[in-house]
Amino acid sequence: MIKTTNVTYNYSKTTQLSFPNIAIESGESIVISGESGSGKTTLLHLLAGLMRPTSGTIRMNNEEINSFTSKKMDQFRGSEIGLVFQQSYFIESLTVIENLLLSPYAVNREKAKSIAERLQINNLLNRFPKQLSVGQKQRVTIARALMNQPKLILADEPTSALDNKNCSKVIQLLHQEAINNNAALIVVSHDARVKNEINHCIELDNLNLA
Amino acid sequence: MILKIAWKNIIHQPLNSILCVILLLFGTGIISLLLSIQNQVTEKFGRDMQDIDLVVGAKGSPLQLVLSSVYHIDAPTGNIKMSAAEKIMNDPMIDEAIPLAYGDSHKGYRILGTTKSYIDKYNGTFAQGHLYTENMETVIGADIAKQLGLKIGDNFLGTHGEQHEGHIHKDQPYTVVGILSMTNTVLDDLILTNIESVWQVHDTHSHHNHHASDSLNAYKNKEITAILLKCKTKLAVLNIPRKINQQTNMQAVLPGLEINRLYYMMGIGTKTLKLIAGGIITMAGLSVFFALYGRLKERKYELALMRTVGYRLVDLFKLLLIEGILLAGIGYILGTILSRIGLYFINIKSQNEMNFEFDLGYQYEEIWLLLTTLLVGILASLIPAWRATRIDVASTLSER
Repeated sequence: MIKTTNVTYNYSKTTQLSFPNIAIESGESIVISGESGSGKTTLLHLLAGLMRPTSGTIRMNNEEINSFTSKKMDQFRGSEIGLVFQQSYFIESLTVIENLLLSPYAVNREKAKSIAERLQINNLLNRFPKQLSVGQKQRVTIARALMNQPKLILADEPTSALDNKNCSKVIQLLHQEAINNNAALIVVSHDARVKNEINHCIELDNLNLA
Repeated sequence: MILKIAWKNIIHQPLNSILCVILLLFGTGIISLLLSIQNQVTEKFGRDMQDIDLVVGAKGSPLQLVLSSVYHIDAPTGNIKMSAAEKIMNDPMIDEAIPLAYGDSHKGYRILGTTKSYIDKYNGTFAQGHLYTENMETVIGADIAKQLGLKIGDNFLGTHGEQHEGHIHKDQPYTVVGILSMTNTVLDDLILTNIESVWQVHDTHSHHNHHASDSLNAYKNKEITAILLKCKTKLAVLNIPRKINQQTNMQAVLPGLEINRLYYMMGIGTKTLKLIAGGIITMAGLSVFFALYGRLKERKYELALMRTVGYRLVDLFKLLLIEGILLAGIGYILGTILSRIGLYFINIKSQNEMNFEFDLGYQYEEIWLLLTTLLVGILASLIPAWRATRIDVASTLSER
């Protein structure tokens, strides 16, 4: 479903990252782990098409996404990828339900309500982001990432601000929603608690610094 | 959705937008008010001028003579002898001459002694009744009938002069015998009677009624206020004033010339005000720019987020552009409302003093003001919109 081959990224002449090849099928979940500075977030941004690799290929559903034009990549990201960030980003002037429907590729209001019900945020739909707790924000972020029925869910350190109980809940939620959507889930995290929840783990180490 | 986000951004933090809106409100409000006044005054002055070539009256301010005799919004310069007036009226180069005699008013509306030609000049037609045939009979304008509720057969008293609190001619009541249809000219706000009635009211020695068809010759020693003249040739329009101004103690003025002079004087004032308002709109444009540009730093996470959920660079550009246009649009709408409130208060004064009411409706030129205001909004948001497209999504989302 998604496959990377010999992907490298050069920040500068002296800071060059090379990543292990990854292959993951629909419905599968993996954790990409590693020390700070090992390039976890960079890899996630490359997979999301927010950055382009210096060399190598990233294929999704047999399409080489790193050769997409900027416009096609925006469209592809909006329709095929769901992103969950370490921090919860929102349009602060919009309510939770409006944030869920933010994407031009979001299915519809009914879908938003059903996802909100599954993630137990259906009572928060008319609130503004600043009225939510950290845990609630994270669940809203996950709900938003599912609104376009993505084939690939990418989560960047989604548990770093959560306690053990909420950490387990969030990972289980992501895992379950990936299965429900028949989507591939890639979680970038150095959190050992995440590795306990998702067995398949790819470790990045500082060796990938060229 | 972009429009919704833009709108919500504006109303969610109103303090950020309020300065821009206030500046736009005052800038567009002043210009809109000036446009309304200028257009309507120009239109009314043009309409009421009809084809009057010359106005003859007592010496004094030429502009005052035109304002009082053609537009009925100023005090007359004085009176002229009927005998002297008749000489001019009988000049072979005069195509049409209409004598005017002022004296009284009723509840602020002028009572004007004149002939049927005056009604014909403004294409007046009778909604009810007929032309006066006897002294003290009157024909009233449509606006007066509406405002004062006067009907055919009603009597009313004239007040000396133009003030509401002058001497009332209690023993000389006027009778309404005709009501004119609305003409949107000075006719609507005048009470018309024959000249003999004006003389009769002011002649303390003779209160006998005279038939309107009596010759004016009987009154050669009487006075009138002015004559409106239409000349046979353009050359006469130039020659007759020279003759009158040099050889008589009267003055003849070209109303078009005087009104153009008035426009010129008004023009300097309105031009200055328009420049000030233009300056305010420019400042408003700058405030829109700073409001949008200044908030880009705190909004970059929102903009980056939009990119991650599928919005294109052009969508971010559009978002900022729409916000600028919305701010300009809000300022324009509020400015137009402000100008109408201003016109409403001006109307209270102008109705009392000049029987002139400004139409509060939308003026054609205001479309240009709208387009200019929107252009200011667009120009002010171009740089912030461009900057929004330069945000590095990946590094922004890794920042916090």
